[in-house]
Amino acid sequence: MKTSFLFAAWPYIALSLFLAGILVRYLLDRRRIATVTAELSEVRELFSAGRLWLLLLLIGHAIDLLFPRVIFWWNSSPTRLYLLEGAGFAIGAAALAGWLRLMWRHLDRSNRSAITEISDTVFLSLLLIGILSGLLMAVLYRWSSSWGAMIIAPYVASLVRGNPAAGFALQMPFLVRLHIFASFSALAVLPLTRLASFAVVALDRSFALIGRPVSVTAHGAEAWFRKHNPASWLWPEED
Amino acid sequence: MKRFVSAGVRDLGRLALLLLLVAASGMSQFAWADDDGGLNSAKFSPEAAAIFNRRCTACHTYGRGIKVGPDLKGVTERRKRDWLLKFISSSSSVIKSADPTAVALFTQFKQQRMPDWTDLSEKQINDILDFVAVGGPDIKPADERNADLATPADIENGRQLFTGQTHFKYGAQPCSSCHTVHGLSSGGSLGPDLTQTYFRYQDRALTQFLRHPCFQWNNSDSSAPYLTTRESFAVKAFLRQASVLHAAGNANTVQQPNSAEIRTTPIKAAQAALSSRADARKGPAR
Repeated sequence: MKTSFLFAAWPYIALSLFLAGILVRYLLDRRRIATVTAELSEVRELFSAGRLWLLLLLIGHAIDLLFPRVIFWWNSSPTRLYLLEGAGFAIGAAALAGWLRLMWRHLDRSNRSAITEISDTVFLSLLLIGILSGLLMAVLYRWSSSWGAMIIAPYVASLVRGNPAAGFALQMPFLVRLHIFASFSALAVLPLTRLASFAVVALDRSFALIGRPVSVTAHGAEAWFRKHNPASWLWPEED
Repeated sequence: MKRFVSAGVRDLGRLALLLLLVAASGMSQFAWADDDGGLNSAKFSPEAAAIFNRRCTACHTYGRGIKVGPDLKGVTERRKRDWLLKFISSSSSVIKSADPTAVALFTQFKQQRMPDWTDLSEKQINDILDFVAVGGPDIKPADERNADLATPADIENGRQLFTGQTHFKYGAQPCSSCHTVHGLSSGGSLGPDLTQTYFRYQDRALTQFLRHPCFQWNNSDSSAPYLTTRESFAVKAFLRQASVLHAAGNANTVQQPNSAEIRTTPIKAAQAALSSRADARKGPAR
């Protein structure tokens, strides 16, 4: 497998797997959406450990990749740079501690489905790879917020534009490439995990919201056609 | 009285020497082209220089006599701008119109006429003529100056650009995002340590290197500008300073050297330090 495939095609494959997976999960679970909703509290409890830190990490990555100019401005002062890098590392370390608690809980309770069990384990392993590689990157390759905004942000932008510039990722050290690959792989596996229940319920509620005005319009149109039925003009005796 | 007169003559002599130095420094500044609008620098479009080098130098020299066509030194004074515009754009039509100057040139140069550069716009031709008028190929870009000639201000500017305290004109990110030099606390470690870069690559190679981004800079447009020649020179000067200070075992001053230190840093001491290290590596003489 060519390395460029991992950074040019795999992100799109991972995103497609994620979207298709969520849609399939929704189609399979929509008949028993009440049960899925009831299961959410259990999933929420299971994944509550380190949730805040993981969320903060996700937001930090999103700001770095979506608003690189803000990061450049922030990092133009050494004090702010040290502050951001220090905070990033501390959040990463807290996320690692949260992951350990999450894994402990995951191993502690068995699930009814073997597929979900395996998927959860694979997802958590990919998460660990992501966190560990991120922490090591922060130690070995200083100022990841700066070079991330400089090199990885254009790579992500090229993916969004549909013209992947894999060269950006390919010239990075192994740890950085591992970090990127693990992130997209986690996205691909996500629909098979218990976390997908959140997406299924969200999708169901979205469809219900979108469906409401459509259903109202359809009912209105049906009533109008009944009232102005052209058949009544053509065959008035049948009325 | 005699003493007074001799003092006056001495002062006049000093003044003349000072004027001579100012004139000389003015001339030396003129010989370096700067592309970021700096003062005391010859200005020309880099695109015009590129077109001149690509299209004109095959047949013309600048101040070195006839090649295939005439020497272009002083051509903007010998001919009118309108005539030059027409001739460069389409020499064939000017010759056909029986213009006496064009016909004379055609006869003089063995009936070989210049290609019609119809693809060049009037602005491009004017830019080329401006380039020739200000000194043409005799002008070298500012970054080709040897870093030995850098002033303390250049080195300080390079340090600020390297660390991001001053921003690069075209939006390039500071070198310290990925690189460091010995003694700089805020340098990154994704890329290699650049302390020895100047001594390793020397001035000319480093100049060439700094003209291109270290990584894929702008995916959509490969001709996008990267560093101005002045920025490039300043960064080169800072890297030279880092190499010199490191070799002299004085790395701490890289952080923010004062101008006195910059001026007095002995290059000979640095070279001596390097040679003594080389001797140590060789071991005792047999």
